[in-house]
Amino acid sequence: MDLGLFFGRFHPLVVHLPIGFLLLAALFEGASRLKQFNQLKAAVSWTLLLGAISAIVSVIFGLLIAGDRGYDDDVLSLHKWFGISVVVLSAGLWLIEIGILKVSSKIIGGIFIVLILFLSLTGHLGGTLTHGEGYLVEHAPGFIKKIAGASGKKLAPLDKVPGNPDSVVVFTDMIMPILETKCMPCHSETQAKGGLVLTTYETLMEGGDGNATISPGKPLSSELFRRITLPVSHQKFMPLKEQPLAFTEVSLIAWWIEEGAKADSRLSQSEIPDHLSELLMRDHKIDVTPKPYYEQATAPELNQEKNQLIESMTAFNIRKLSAKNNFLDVSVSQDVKKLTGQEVEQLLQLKDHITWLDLKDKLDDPSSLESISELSHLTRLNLAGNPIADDHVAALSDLKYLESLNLVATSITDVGLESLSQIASLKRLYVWQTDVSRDAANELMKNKGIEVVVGYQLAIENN
Amino acid sequence: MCHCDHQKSDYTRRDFLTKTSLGLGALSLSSLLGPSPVFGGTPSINPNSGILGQPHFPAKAKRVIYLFQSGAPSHLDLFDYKPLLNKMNGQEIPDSVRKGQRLTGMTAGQASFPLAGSIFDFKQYGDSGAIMSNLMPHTAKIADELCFIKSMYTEAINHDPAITFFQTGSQLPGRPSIGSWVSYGLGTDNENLPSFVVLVTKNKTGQPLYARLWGNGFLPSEHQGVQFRAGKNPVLYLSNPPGVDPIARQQQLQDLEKLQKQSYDEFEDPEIQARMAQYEMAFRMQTSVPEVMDTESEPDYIYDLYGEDSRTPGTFAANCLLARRLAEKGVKFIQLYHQGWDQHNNLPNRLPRQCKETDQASAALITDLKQRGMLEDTLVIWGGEFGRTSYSQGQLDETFGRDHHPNCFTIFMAGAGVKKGFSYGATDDFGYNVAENPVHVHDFQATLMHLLGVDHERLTYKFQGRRFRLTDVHGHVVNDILS
Amino acid sequence: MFKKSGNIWLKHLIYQCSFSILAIFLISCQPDLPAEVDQAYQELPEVIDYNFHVKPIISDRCYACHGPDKETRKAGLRLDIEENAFAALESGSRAFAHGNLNKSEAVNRILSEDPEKQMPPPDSKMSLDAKEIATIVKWVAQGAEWKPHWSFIVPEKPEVPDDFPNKWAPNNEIDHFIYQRLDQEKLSPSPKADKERLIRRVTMDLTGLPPSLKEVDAFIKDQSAEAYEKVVDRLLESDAHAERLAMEWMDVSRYADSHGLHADGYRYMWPWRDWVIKAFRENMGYNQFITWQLAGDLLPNATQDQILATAFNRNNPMTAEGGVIDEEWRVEYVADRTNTVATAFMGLTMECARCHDHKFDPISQKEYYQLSAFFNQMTELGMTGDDGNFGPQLLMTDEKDEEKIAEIKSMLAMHEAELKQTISQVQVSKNTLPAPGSVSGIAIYHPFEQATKDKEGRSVIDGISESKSRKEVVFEAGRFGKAVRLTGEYDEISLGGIGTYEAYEAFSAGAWINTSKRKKDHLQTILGNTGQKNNFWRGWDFELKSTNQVSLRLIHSLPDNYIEVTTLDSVRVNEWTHIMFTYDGSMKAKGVKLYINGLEAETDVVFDDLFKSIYPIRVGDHTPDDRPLRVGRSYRAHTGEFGLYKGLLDELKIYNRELTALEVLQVSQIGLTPNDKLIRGHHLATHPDIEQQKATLRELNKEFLSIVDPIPEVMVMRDDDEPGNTYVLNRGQYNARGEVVTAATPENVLAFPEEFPQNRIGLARWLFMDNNPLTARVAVNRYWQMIFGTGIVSTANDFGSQGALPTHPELLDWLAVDFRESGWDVRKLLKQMVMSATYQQSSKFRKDLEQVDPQNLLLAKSPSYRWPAEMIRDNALASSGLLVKKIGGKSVKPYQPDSLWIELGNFSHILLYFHQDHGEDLYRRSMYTFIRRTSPPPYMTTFDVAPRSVCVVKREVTNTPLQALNLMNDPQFVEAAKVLAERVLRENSKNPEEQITQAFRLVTSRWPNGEELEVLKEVYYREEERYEKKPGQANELLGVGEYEVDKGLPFSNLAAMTIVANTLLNLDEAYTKR
Repeated sequence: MDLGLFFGRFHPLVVHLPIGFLLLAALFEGASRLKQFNQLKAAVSWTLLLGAISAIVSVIFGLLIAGDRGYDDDVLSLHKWFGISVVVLSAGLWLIEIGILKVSSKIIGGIFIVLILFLSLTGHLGGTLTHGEGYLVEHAPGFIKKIAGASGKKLAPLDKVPGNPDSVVVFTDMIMPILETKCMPCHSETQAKGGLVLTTYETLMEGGDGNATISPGKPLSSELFRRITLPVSHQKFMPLKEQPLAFTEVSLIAWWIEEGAKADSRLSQSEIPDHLSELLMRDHKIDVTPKPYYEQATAPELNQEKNQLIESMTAFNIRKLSAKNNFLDVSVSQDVKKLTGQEVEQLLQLKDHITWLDLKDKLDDPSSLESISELSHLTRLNLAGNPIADDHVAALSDLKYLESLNLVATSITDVGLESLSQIASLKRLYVWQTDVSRDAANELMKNKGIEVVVGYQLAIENN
Repeated sequence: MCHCDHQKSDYTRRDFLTKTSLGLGALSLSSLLGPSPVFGGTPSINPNSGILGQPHFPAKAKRVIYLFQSGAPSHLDLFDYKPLLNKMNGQEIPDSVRKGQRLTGMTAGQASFPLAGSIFDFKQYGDSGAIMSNLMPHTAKIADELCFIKSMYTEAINHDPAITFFQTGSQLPGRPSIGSWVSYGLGTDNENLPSFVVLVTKNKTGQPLYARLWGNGFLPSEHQGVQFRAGKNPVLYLSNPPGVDPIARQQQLQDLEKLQKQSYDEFEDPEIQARMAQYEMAFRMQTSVPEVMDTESEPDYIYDLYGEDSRTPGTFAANCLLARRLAEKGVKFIQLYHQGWDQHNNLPNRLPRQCKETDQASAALITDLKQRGMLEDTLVIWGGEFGRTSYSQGQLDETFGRDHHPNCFTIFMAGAGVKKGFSYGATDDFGYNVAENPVHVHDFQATLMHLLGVDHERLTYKFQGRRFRLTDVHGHVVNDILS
Repeated sequence: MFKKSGNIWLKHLIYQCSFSILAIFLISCQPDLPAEVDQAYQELPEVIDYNFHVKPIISDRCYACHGPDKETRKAGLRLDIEENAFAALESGSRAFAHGNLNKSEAVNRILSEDPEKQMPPPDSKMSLDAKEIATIVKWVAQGAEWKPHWSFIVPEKPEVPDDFPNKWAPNNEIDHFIYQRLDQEKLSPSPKADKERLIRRVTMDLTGLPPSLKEVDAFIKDQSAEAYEKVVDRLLESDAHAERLAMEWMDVSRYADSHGLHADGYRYMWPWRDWVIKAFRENMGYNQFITWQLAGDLLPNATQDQILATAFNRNNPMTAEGGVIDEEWRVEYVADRTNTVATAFMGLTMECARCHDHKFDPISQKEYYQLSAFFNQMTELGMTGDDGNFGPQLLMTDEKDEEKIAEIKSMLAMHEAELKQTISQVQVSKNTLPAPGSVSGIAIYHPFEQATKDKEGRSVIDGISESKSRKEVVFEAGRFGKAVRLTGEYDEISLGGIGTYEAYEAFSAGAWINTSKRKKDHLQTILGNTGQKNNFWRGWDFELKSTNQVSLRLIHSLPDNYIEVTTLDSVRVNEWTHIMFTYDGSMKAKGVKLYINGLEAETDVVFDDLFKSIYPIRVGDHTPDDRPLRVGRSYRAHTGEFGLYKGLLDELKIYNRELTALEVLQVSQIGLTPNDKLIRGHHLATHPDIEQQKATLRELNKEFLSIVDPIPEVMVMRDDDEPGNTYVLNRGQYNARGEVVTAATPENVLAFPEEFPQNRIGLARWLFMDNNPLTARVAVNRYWQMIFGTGIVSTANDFGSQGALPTHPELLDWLAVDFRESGWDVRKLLKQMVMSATYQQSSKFRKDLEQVDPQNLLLAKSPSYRWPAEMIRDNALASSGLLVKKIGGKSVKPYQPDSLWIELGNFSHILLYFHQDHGEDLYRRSMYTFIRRTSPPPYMTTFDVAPRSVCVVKREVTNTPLQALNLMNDPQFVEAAKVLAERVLRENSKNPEEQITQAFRLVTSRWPNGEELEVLKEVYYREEERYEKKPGQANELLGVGEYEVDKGLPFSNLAAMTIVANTLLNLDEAYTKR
C-alpha cells in the first residue's frame, strides 16, 4: 500500500479539469471581445480561478506519480515543467482578471495564447508518456506522417552488434550496450545507486555494497542476474527506471556469466547453446554459425564497368559465388590450352573479388605466380599439373586467407612444404604425384594441423 | 510432356533463345547465338549458368556423383549393427515394435515373422569408430571420410514408387529428376558434354529401371539425363555411319551451313541459326564424348585402385572410373545405377556378391577424388530406395531373405560440405523404426540442393498453373551434417 | 440568435474550415505510389479489363492463400468470388473497395514495405513487379469492375466484324476476326505463300505426308480459282488424313503397346487404334466419336465397334509389381481416366483437386470425386500380370468366328433341350442301392496314414510316389485312422500328375477337414492349382473362404473370365466336416454342386462367365504347365495371401467324373442311409442315355473352346450391375475414405442435369449439351493448334484461371458454336481453317513484327515450326519411296540400337529383348511404331513424342544436338538417303544436276534455286571423287539398312548421291513447316 502512488495514479483523471476550464476561459475571453458577447467577460476570471486550482491539484498528483517507474526521463521532465508553467500562467491571468495586476488587453490575449499553447504541449507530452512515441500520427495519412517525421522503431541495444561474429567481443560489443541503456542512468560514476558502478568491466566485477554482482561460472549466485530475473512487481527488481530486460538479453547475460564472465572472449570461439544462437538470429540478425571467409567478408559491388571487364575476359569462365555474394569463382575456358602471362595479369583487375581460382594444367610460365599471390582474397587455389617448383611457391605465403591449395603433379618438394606452412589459414594441401615425402607431410600435419594429402598409392592392403 | 505456357509467355522469342540453359543432354537454342553470327565462325560459347544465373548462396558442392544401389541394400547387414537381432534370432518380432505397420504383399501372408540377426560380423573402423560389417572392407578403410545418415525413411513400400520418389520427389511418374532440376537451375560448366550423365551397370538383373528416372518431366527436354553406354556409341547415333570419315562429315557440315544460310536469308527465322549451332555442337561431341569414355590412357595403378572389373567397360567399377573422368571435365550431375540388391531370398549368398561388385570401386572413387583435390567440392552419395526388414522373409534358414522396409535405412555421403567420419540419426534396437533425428527423402533432397547452393524452395517451374519444386511442398535442410 | 454582422463572419468561418478539412481528406485519399509503380502506371492501357489484365496476376500470386481451397485460406478472404473480394472481413477492412484505393486493404498491402503486412508475404517467395502493382491499382481506381471467368460463360455466336481495309480480301469468317485484330494493332497481313510451299504445307498438315511431285506439278499447272480447294478436298477424303488425325489422337488417349509401370509388359491394344482410324475415315461426328469412346458399351445393344471404342479409357498405365496394394492402384486407374477426360474434353487441370480443393479454379475436391464416380463402377484389378491384357475384355471375333460360335451354340442348345427331354422321359427301373465301395472313376485316394522319405529327403505320402511334401509330415488321429496336420509353415502337399482338368471335363473331389483357423481375411486352399498374377490365376481351386464357407473356382483369368460358387453356410471350426464338390464340365455355374457332410449345400453363384480354357499355364511364356495339384496351400504369390490351410485333413478322394448325390453320400462315409430321391436321382444320372448325351455336350464344349480360346481380347469398359460406392478420399489416399458421392459434374462449369443417367452415357450427353461452355471450345482450340501450331488459347490443357487467355476470344466462340451447329463436323472445321487466307499467308519473318508480336500470336504471318517426329520420318520414307502405305494393323518395330530393353528391365517375358521387324514392317508410317513406355524408341523421345503415361494435348518442340545426330547418323535416315539416291539415279538420265534437282524436289517439294544447286553439285563431285578412290567406303555406306541397292548402278555415284540425299534430309525445309 503506497498512498503516494495511489493518489498519483489519479493524475491522468484530474488533469482534464484544468484543460476544460482554461480553454473555456480562453474562449470566453475571445468571445467577450465581440460586442454581442461582451457580457461573458465576467465569467472569465471565475473560470480562470477554477482552471488554476485544478491545475495545481493535477501538478501535485503528477509529482506523486512521477516516482512510478518506466517513464522516459527527458519527456517526463519537459512535461513536468510545462505543467508547472501552465499553473503559473493561469494563476497570473486570474490575478490580472481580478485586477491585482494591471496589463493591457492585447497582452492578456497574448498570454492566453501562450497558456493554450503550453497546455496543449503538456497534454501531448503526457500522452506520449503513457502511449509511447508516434501514437498520435500512426494512422495519419501519408503527408502528415512525413511532416511529423514519425521516428522508426527504437534500436534495441543488441541491434548495433557488428555483422561479422569473428570480430565481436562478447563483453564489450554485447554486454556493455545492455548495461549502458538499462542500468547506466542510476549506476554510473555520477549517480552510483547502491554503490554500484557499471561503466567498465572492472567496476562491474568489483560490484556494489551488496554481495558479488558477478560470480563467474554461477549466474544464480550473481546479484546482477538475480535482480534482473526477479518478478517485475518485486521491490528489488532491476532496472527500476528502464523497460525490463528482454528474454534474449537475460539469457545472453546468463550464458556470459556461465562461461566465466571473461572480458575478452570472442563470439566466434565460444560454444553458444542452440537456443541462444536462434534467439540472437531471430531478434537481432546475429548469425553465429561458423562461416567460411568468403561469406564473412564482403567484396565491393560489381559495377557496370567491372561487369564489362568480366565479359571481355573470354579466356576465363567467371561466375559470382551467389546472387548476393560479389566474390568470384574463376576457371579457364576450355578452348584455351595455356594462359599467357598477360592473361593472368588481367586477373589483377579483379583483385579484391577472386576467391576461388582453378588454373589446373593451364600455366606454362611459373612466374605468373607473382601476380596470383596479389589476389589477396583467395581461399581456394588449384595449380595442379603446372610446372611449379619450390621457389615459385614461396610467393604464395602472403595469401592470408588461403584455405585449400592443390599442387598435384607439380615439381614441389619438402623444401616448398616448409614455406607453405607459414600460411596460417591453410587447411588442406594436395601434393599427390610430387616429390614431397610422406613423413614430411605427416610432420606438417602434426604440428600445423594442415591436412596434407599425399595420395593413396597402393596403401590398401586388402587383408 | 505437354506444358502450359511457362515463363515463355513473358519472354520474347529472342529472350527465350538466350535464356534457356545449355544442358547438352539436349542442347537447346541457348546463348549459342553469342555475339558473332553463326556463319562467321564457331561462336565462343561461354557456359550458361541456368535459370538462376548463379546459386542462391555460395555452393559447397560444384558437382554430384550419385551411386544409386537399386533394389535396396540391407542396412542391417552393412552399416546399422543390431546385436539384439542376433540375440533374439528366430523369435517372433514383438507387435509393439511393428505397431501394425503396412506390410508389403510379399510377407503379409506369412504365418510368422521370425527376427533374423545379421550373419556377418561387425567391427569399428577408423578414428571415427564407425561400425560396419566385413562385407565392405575397402569402404571401411575410408570410414573417416564418410558421413552416414542412419535414420532415412520413406513412405513408398514398393520399388517403382520408391525409386521414382527418390529420383523425382514424387511417387507417381511425370516429374523431373534431380539431375534435370540441377541442369535447369545451374546450367553446365562444360559445353561439350551433357550437364547430367547417367551410367547403368550392364547385364545386371533385378528390379527394373525406367528412362523416366532420369527424364526431364515437364522441364524443357534439353535437361534430360543422357545415358552413356559402353561400346562404340556411348551416346546414341554419335558416330558417323560406316563409310563416312570425319573429314567428309566436316565438309558436308560446311556445305549444309551454306544451304541453311540461304533459307535464313529468305525467312530470317532465328530458329535456323539456333539449329545450325546444334549441328556444330553435335560434331564437337563426336570428339569430346569418346575422348572422355576412352579410359585406356589411365595408368595401371588406377585400375588396381578401382579393382580388376574397372578394365571391362559397363561394369560398376568401370562406371566409377568414368564418373571421376566426367567430374574432372566439369559434368555437374553424374548418376550411376547398380541393380540387384533386392534380396527377398538367399541373402547370405547374394549380398556378399553384390557388395564385392561395388565396395572397392565406390571406395576407390572417393580416394581418387581426394588425392586429386576434387573431393572438397564434389559430393558422392551411396544408397538405395528403402531398407530391409529385421524379420526374415520365408523360412529362417541359410537361404532366408529380407522384405522391403520403408521405416528406416542408411545411406552415406562423402566430400563437399558434409562432415567427415560422422554418423547422424539412429534406429531402435530392432532396426525397425527411427529412434533419433528422422531424415525424410524430401529432407535429403533439400540438403542436396543446399549443398549445391540452391534454396530448394526457390527453384521452381510453373506448370499447369502451379510452381512445382523438387521437394514438392516438403523438405528441410539437415543442418547438423553440414561441415 | 446570431447578430447579423457576426453572422456572416461565422458562417464564412464554418465554410472555410469544413472546406479545408475536406481538402486535406481528399489529398490524403490518393496513396503516394512509389516512383517506378507510378511510371508503370502511365504506360498501362486506358481501360483495365479484369479477365485480361488483373485476374492472371491475382490468380497466380494470391489464390494460393486466398483462393477456392478452404484448408489453406487465410484471413477468411476469398479473391475468386466477387462478393467475398469486396466484403468486409472480420478484421474490419475489405480487400477491394470499388473506386476507393484507401479503403482497399489489398492495395495498401501490395504497396507496403513492412514485411509483416506486405502482400504477397516474403515467405511465400512470390512478389509483384511494378507493372503488376500498377495494373491492380488502376483497376481499383477505375471502379474494380468484376467479370466471371471467360471460359465458363456459354459461347454465343458473335456477329462477324468487317471493320478492316477490304483490300485484304478475306476468304472466310476466320479472316474477318484475324484481320480486325491486325487492324486494331495497326499491322497488316502477309502476302500469299507461293504455290509450291502452299501445297506442301497443306498436304503435310492434313495428311502428315509430303505431296508427290505429280500432285505438286498438277497444282502449279491448275490456274483455276478452285485449284487449292480441289487439293484440300482430295486430302480430306484420303486415308492418310484419317491416319494424321489418329496420330494426334494417340497422344491425347496416351496410347502405348506396353503397361508402363514396373514390368511394363506387352499389351494388345492396336485393334482400338484401327477403330480410331476408321472413325476418322468416315468423318464420324466428334460428339459420336467421343460418346462411343466414353460409353460405347452402355449404348442400346452396343455393336462390337461401339464396345471396342471404350478401350480409350483402358489406355491407362497399369502396374504388375508384386506386393502392391490392389485397391490403391485400382483407385489410381480411376483417377487417370478422370484426369484424361478433364484435360482432353474440358481443358481443366482437375487432377489438382484430387487431394484438396483446387487452388485456382472453383473446383472442390468433392466435385473431383463426383466426376471420378463415372469411372468407378467397374470391377478391375489394381495389380495385374507382367504381360497380357486383363478384364473386362472384348472378344475380337471376326465374321468367320461368329458364324462358328453361333453354330456351336445352337447345337449346344439343341442337345441341352434333348437332354432335358430324355431326363423327363427315361424310366428308372432299378432302385437298388449300389454297394458303397463301387463308386467308379477314382483318380486318387489319400487316407493319410503313413509317409516315407525319398532320396532328396522329401516325404512320400501313402506310398503314392507323386504325392510329396518338403517337410516332415505330421500325422495325428484322424476321422478314419490317421490324418495329416497342416500348419501353413511350408508343409503343403503336392500331388503330381493329377488335377489338370480342362473346363469341359467333369470331375469331383472331397475330403474330411478339421480346420482351426479363425483369422478373418485369410482363405484356406484345400485343393487347387490356380496360379498367380503372371499366369492369370488360371486353374481351379477348392477352398474355404475368409469366413470358412466352402467354394469352388474354375478360372481362365480374373476378374472377368471364371466361375465361382460358394456355400451359404460355413464350416464350423475344430470339428470334423466332410466337404466335396462335383462339376459336370458344362462351363456353367449350375454345373457345380457343393456338399457338406454328404448332403448338397445351398450355394450362391459369385460369378458365372467362363468361356476359355482353365488349363494352368507357366509364368513368362504362358505355355501349358501340368504343375502338381497342391493341398493346404495355393500357388498364389505377391498378394500376401497364400491360402494357408491350418488344421487336419483326412480321406482325400478325387474322381474323373461327376459323382451323383448318392455317390457323394457314400464316399463321405458319414453313415447316413440315402433316401429314395437320392437313389432314383443316382440311377437317373447314371442312365446310359443321359451319360451319353452329357458326354456329347462336353464334346461340343470342347469344340467351342478350340474355336474361342485362340481369339485375342482387347481391354474395354464394362460396368458392374450394382457398382460399389465412390468416396471422397482424404488427401487422395486410397483408404482414407470420406463421404460417399454420386456421379456428377463441376457446378461452376455446368450442373449435371437430374434426368441424365448417372453413368458414362450421362457424362457423354453432358459434354455435348448445347450450353456446355467448354467442350466445343476445347476441341476447336486443339484442332486450331494442330493446323496453326499454337491454339487460340496457347495452354490447350488448361482453360482455367491459370491458363493462358484466348488471343481472339470472339473467333474462338464463333468457331465453337459453328462447330456445334455443323453437327460437330471435324472435316468442315479443318477445311475452314486451311481455306482461310490467314493460313495461306507466307511464313517469312517480318522486321515490323519483331517487336510487336515476336511469337506471332496475331497471325500476321503463317506460323512456322519443326514438324512432329512422325512427320519428319514419314517425309524421309515417302521421298525415298520406301514408305509402305498399308493402313492399320499391329505395331511395328523399325531399327533401334540393340539391348535398350534388356538393359533396363527383365520382368516382362514377351518384351524381354527388342526383336527388330524386317521387310515391309520396317517402312510403315511412324504412328504404327511400337511404343514401350519405360524405354520408348530413342528417335521418338529425341523428337519430343509424348511419354504416353498421361493425356498430352500439346507436345513440346525443342532443338537439340541429339536431333542433329539422329538426322545425320540414324540408320533409318541413312538408308532413306541411300534409297532416295538410288531412286533418282534410276529414274533420271545420267546428268547429276537433274538427279540432284529431282532429289531436292522429292525432299522439299520445291525447285532448288541456282545457288542451292551449285552447292549440292559441289558436294556430289567431291564425294564421287572420294568414293572412286575408296570404293570400300562406298560399299560400307551402301550396306547400311536392310534395303539391297541395285547392283547395276555405279557405287561411287550412288554413294556420292547418298551423301547429297543425307544433306538434303538435314535441310531446314525437310523438318520445318515453311
